[in-house]
Amino acid sequence: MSCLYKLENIEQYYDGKKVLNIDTLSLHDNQIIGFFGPNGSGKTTLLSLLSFINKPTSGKVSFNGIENNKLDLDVRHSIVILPQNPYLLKRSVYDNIIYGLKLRKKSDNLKELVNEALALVGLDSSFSTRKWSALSGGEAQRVALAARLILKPKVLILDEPTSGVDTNSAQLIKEAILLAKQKYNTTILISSHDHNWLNHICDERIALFQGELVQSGSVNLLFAPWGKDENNNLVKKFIDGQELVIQNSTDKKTDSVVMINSEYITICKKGCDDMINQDTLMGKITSIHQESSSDNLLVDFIISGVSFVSKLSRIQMQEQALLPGDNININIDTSDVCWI
Amino acid sequence: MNLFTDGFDQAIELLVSGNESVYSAISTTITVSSWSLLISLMIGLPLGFALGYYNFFGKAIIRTIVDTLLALPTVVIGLVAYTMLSQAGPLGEYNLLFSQEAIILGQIVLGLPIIIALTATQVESVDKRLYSSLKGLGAHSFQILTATLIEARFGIMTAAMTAYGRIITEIGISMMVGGNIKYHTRTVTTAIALETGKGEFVTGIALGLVLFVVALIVNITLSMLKRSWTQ
Repeated sequence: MSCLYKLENIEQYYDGKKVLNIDTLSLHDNQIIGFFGPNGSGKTTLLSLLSFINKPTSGKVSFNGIENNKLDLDVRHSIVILPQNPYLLKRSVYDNIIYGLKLRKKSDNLKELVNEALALVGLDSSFSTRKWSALSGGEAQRVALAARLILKPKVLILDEPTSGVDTNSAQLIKEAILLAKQKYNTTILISSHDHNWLNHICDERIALFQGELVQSGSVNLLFAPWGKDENNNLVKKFIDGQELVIQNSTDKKTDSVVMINSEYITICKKGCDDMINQDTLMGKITSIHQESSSDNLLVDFIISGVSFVSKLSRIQMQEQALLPGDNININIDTSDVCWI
Repeated sequence: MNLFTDGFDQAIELLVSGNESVYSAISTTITVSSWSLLISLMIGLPLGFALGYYNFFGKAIIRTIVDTLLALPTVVIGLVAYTMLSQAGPLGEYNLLFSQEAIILGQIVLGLPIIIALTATQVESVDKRLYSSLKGLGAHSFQILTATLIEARFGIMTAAMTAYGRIITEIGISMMVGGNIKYHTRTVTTAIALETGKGEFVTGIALGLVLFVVALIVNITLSMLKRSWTQ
């Protein structure tokens, strides 16, 4: 892996308001990198800088060691972005898909390439004759993705690719992304607020909050509203009545955001007598997958509808024999959380 | 009422008989109007796109000026064009006064604000996601312009039809800088004015009907084109 992007001292302002502030960030090639965070955290702004659609107000974005203002057209054409809720031209699916190729003055084997791109996103070749207006939301999103994949880009940037699409389309989009990486060695940068979806697909995850990089890796973000307990500590009150008390938080505001590393969360299905105490919570496992950067496993679970992720070793997993759907006991160590 | 029915009968007769002066006026009208519209589109579409797409200092002022020019009387444009093209004017050396080129120049001034203003409105109303999608595929400014104009083609066509309607029916410019010279610069509208002045109301109405039919043919053609695009 080599360094593909390097961002230094990036500041971006809109109407005088700072929306992005990154001291330094390096992104490596041939990876799927996910950016997650709540609305307004700066994900879309960051992606617009990485796609070189916008220039930062100050700071430097380098691509393969070349600064953004020195990139030639070929390099710029090797980076494509699928914006959130992409627009399809008022033309046929075929014309939409070949539009990027026409911009690049390529005209060979167009029909074959279109069919290949449609197959990548799980659409039949008969779709190519359809009008833009005859597509469902999920189909339109996949056609827009096919219009990017046909370009076999070096970098594919996807801004909330699964927003507003059904589960099936989200799954097909995920498969198309993985195939693109495999077939074309494409580096893929994805933003999403769907933490679980990103966990399943990304080699690396980067959290953003209020325009700042928070942390890479598997983290949990807990947002307001917060209550207060008798000791004036912040308390997260779940819908089912369970409560999570954040230790040493008497001086924190009730609009704070708490970041909990997945390693600080202990889960247990059986033989849990030793760990159960008055603060233990109950939840249900939704999915289990391997962390791409290590041999550890990431367990996604929900507590009363709120998603969390915990990191376990393979040995811990085998001991517990955890499966999706299992009810589990959860201890969250809140004595060393990060405040945002 | 007889005036109208007689006018209608005479219009048919004039067209069927192949009356030379009538066909000359129709030909001149269509020629100068089409050139005016074409040149107005060539200049107005990029300017309208720029006005609608980009944000720049003074945009609101330019927009106000363009909108104001929409209401400019044709006789005023004719007067200004006459002043410019007369021997004492800055363009006098080109000897364009009382020529079809002079009418075209004046009609461009008439059509240009319509094309610019309506194109800018169309571009402003285009879904903003179009621009981010095109940029995301690597399109540069000119490619964004052409794609935007194609996306907004129905609105642009309406702008063109509006401009054509105003141009083909104007009289002030044609009369002042064209001079109403038979077989040369006489248009249908100036011919109507002449015939009415002579008391030949029936001929005037006949020519009016001819103008109406010409406008109708143009609009039907454009509507059919629009329908074929949508299907």
